[in-house]
Amino acid sequence: MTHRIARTAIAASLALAGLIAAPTAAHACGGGWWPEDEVDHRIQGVANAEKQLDDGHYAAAAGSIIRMIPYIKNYEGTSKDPIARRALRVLAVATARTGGQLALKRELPQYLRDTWMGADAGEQQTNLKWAVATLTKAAEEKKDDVVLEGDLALAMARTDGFKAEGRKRLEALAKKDLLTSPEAYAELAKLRAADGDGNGRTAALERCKAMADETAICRVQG
Amino acid sequence: MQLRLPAALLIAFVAAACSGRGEGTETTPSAAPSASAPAAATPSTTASTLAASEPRGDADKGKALVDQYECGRCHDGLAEAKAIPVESHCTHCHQKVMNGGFDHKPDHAKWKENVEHLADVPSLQSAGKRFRYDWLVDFLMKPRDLRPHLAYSMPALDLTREQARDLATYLVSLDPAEPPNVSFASADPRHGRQLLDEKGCTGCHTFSGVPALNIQPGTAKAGPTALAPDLRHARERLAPGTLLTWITDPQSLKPDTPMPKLPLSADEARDIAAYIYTAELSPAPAPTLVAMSPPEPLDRKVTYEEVETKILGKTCRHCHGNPDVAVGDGGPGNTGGFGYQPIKLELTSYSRVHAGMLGSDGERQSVFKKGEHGTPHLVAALLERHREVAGEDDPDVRGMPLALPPVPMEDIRLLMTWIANGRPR
Repeated sequence: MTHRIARTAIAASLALAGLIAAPTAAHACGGGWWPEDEVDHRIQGVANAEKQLDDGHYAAAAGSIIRMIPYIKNYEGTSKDPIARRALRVLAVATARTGGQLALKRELPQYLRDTWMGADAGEQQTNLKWAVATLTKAAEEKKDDVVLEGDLALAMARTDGFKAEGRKRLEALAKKDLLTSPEAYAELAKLRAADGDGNGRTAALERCKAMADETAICRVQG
Repeated sequence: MQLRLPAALLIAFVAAACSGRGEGTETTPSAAPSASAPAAATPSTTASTLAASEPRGDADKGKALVDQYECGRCHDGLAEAKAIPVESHCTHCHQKVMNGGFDHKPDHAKWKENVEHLADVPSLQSAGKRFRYDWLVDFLMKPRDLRPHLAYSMPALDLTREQARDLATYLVSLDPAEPPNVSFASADPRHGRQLLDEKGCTGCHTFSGVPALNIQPGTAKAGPTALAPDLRHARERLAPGTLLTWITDPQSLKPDTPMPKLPLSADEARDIAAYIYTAELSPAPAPTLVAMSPPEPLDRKVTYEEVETKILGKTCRHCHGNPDVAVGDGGPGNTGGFGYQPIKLELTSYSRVHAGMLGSDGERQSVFKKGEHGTPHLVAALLERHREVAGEDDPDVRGMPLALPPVPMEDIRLLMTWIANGRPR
């Protein structure tokens, strides 16, 4: 009986010692170990995506965000995660500026593309509605950010159900010379042309062409 | 190296100093107080003739203003001021770059080139022992360049005269001391002039407005030598007794001063002080004022990349930064600082430059909006800095870059050309 108790105690002690000695988050390498560093690579990744966005490389910016946070559309932690908020904004702006048609074929594998490439008008509107919702929330969180306001106005002007409000906002910013993207001026030119405002169209197109690397985005019918 | 020459000269003159002709500085009883200090003092100027004409302010309010205007972000010697982390402290950050103290080793070489001439700012230690109150009030209201070799100058703060009095009252309360009453009646200013050369003073100090001295300061823009003020301003800043004490034993007034203690006899010190205080000064050269009308654009296309490389990315983005990547601090020109309200102007990217700034009415406006002279605001701010340096300023436009040398005119033309071209990317 005593021996059984002693054997049990020894077994329990060895098991406990084993548990204590076993490294938790560690690398074993040549007999040494050290705690694993946690590096949030998204910080540099989002900064790079923001730079790509500002340089007008929308597919590259959006692609890198989706590769880093594949299910960002359904990520619930964004309200508490400033990096995720910035990532969302990059993706929403890129979506708005490309009219919901991100050219991601070379950026992402098939399974990550979701509806981002906007294969038809329905998908494009789905993407744009998501962009409007995302940028509206961002604008509520960050007041007085004109770049954000301009992108939200652009997204609205391209989205069913928001077009009148988007136009109004684009006009207000253009009047103060505060539109910050050539796409916004191109959209304004399109809307003005549709209203028969030839001079307004020309003025907006001139700003678009001056701001754009690729003046192809400034082609407007009418 | 430049400090070593005066130091060697000083050592060589130690013996002479020890056997000086006088036994001490001649002091006189106070004369009747006078309301004004002379621009060019008479040889018998005494401290008591410098009684302040400016009403005193409230030192407690002044102490609060030191924090509000973030004086400690540039100046050392303010022990009671709020502690500023090194990343937000202009000079400490620049000194850390120069010492290779940041972790981003690959950037050090690039950063050093930009900040090596921006690593020295005069300390305000024991200001109460040194500065005349009236001068401080005037200087705070309208700062001017006192140190011709220093790249920085004091920024024009957004102060009322009452606030300037409060600040000056606080500063003169730091380690205060009454300057001794002195007379230069029996001093020999001509000998003092000669001593400026002989003792090596002019190896560091410029003395504008007097006939050229034999030795002229070098052109070093960094290090303690760069802090040496133009001696022209000494009579405005310091009471005669303070000047004499400063020449005799500068560390007794300001322990952290880089000014060496000179091996001077009392008579020699007095002769030098007399010359500095009484030498006839020719008027400062009339400033060449820059016109505020827009400069003529260049006859070529200019892109944003060129403007960013030569102007915006070189200087402006330091104070007009991106708060998202700097723990919420976008710099004084964006999220506020140095007592300036936030104007939300970020100059870090093409789109941000186009996003404008908050105007005086609180409404956002384009930085390309044309002002009174038909000049875009962004260009007007750069031109205004030229005018500030020349002694003229427009209270409606803050000269930029703040407290730094003006952007060269050819670069301002470059910016104007980019704007005239339609601001191409």
